[in-house]
Amino acid sequence: MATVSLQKERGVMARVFVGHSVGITIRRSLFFFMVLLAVVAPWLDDYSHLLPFPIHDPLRPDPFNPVAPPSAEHWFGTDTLGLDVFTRVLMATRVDFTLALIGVTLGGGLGCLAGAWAAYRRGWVDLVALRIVEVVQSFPVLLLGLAMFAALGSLDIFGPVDHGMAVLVLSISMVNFPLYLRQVRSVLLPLTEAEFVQAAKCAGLGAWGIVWNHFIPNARGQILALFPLTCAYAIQIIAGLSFIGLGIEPPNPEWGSMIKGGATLIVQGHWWVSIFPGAAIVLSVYSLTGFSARSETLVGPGGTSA
Amino acid sequence: MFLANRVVILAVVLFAVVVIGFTITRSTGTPLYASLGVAVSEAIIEQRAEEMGLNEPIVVQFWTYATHLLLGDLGVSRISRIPVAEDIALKLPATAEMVFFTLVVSFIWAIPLGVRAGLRPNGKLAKLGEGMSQFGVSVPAFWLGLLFIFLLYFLPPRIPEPLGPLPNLFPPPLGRLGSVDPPEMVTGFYTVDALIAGDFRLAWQALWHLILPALTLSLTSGPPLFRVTRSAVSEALASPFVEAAYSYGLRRRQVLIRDVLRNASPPVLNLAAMTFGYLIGGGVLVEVVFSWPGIGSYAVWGMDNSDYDVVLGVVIIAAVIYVILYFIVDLIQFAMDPRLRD
Repeated sequence: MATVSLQKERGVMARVFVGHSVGITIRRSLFFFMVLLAVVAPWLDDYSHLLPFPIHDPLRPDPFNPVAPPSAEHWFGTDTLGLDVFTRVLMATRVDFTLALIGVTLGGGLGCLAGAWAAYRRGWVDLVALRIVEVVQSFPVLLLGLAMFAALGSLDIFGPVDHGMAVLVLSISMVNFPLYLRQVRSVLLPLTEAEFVQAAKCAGLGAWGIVWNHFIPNARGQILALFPLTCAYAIQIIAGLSFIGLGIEPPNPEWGSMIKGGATLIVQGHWWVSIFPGAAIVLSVYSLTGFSARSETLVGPGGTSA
Repeated sequence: MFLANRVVILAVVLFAVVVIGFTITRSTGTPLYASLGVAVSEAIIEQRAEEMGLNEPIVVQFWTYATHLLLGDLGVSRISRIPVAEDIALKLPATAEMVFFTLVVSFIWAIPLGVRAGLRPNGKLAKLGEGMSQFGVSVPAFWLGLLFIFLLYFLPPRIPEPLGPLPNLFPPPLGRLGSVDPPEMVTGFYTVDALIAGDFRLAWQALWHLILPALTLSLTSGPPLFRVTRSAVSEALASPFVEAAYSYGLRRRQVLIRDVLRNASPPVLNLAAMTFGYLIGGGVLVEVVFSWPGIGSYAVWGMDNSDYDVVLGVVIIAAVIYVILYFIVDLIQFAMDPRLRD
């Protein structure tokens, strides 16, 4: 009990960093470091004289210096257009993290609501929810994304929002919706008959009131445990779809499309164009999974959900 | 009850696949312009619309689509003008062969390590397995493939001129055989076909090309196999029947094989079958990286050319294979485990 009260007295940030193994603390610090870099990335150029690393314009090509190997001037080398890989890897963090966050929040949030609702209502609502989950999860994740792009490819429904990014976010939500639905439902199903639910009913609270005020808070632990994992997974999906040219259009920095840009160079030994953005993916996934005790495949056979 | 449930799931998924497919083909703009181009007269468009049944009521259109689909008609590629089903039938063996060898590789590393980790949870091999699964989960498969191409194809030193230009340690990432003619088609697995034709050199060649893609996919899809094996073994080890077997005076070796491994195997085999089904459509990016001429590359090719029937055909086939395999695995489980029958 003592430790529990101690944990309560500490702030949120202290709880994130203190009381874990060294490895976990390092991973979490790494994550916050990446977020920090991503946030300040656009202003780095103005203060480049103060920085210990060389920063370039991520979109200004240097036609006289294409596919240059890593050097003091270009830490991660340059790509086929002479763009600085280091700056682009930094800038891409913004896109990948933001899209993953939006997609997971959207799909996961809806999934939580639907899962809690299914657990509360049971009966046919529950049955329909489970069928939806099964249908969505019988498609391999990347093919689901591919189908989304095929379906929404020629539709102009997002207005001013970038079309590729919007479809990426929708694909991520689509993948996350069943994950959260299942998890939340399975946690809450035993609570349907709990006394506090009965009490809330007697007090005259409506169904949505009970789901919102009493059900979802009870699944908070599971939701929070799932969140970093799904974000990490979302980054991989975004990069994967961009790798086959879907989502983020090439001159804009994104890890997957950068890897694609270097894929044909690698057989000639020009490894830096692809390897560094991929390493950034690995690092971000690894640091994100440091927030959860579990690290496992989420989708597909053997995942928590399959 | 269990079985009825499974049949319902199978039916619902198939129906959903048809509905999604239909919506997508109808929402991707006008298939008319795609097949005719833009510079044609109104009359031709009208005639073509009539031919394609686009003037029928939507319900009739849906019915036609569904019946065609269930009879295996996935439409025609707008670019190559070849029926999608034919193309997929041609490319599916390539994917299946890659996935099969992926599982072979996984059985070589994930399962022995999993067994070992179940028996000795704190041993060095358990740590190695855990490390490998951590890595496999964090790393994107397509990037790992590129890394392997660099490290194993490009980097290993080639023998210098005097001894002749000897081949690299691993083949270039250019598909199933490189520039050699494929063996006569029997099973569609080049390794098997070459053996049937009696050409060992060719079989070796095919196997050689399989190693890198299979290794890549295995490292990224193997972690669940490792974990399930580990937990199945440690669960079996802790169960009363193992204690009973020891108390009968059986030797450790006998108990391990007869009781522990035998009881731990169903969930592992189950997962292996599911992994096979999932990877048929889940190895898209690895196929692209290694120019593997499977259905994944085909889908990406279709996407690049806005050839949506191709994309959809692959999506549908992959989902159906997965669901049917899921169903078969359940049937086998049902037949093997009497506890499910109540």
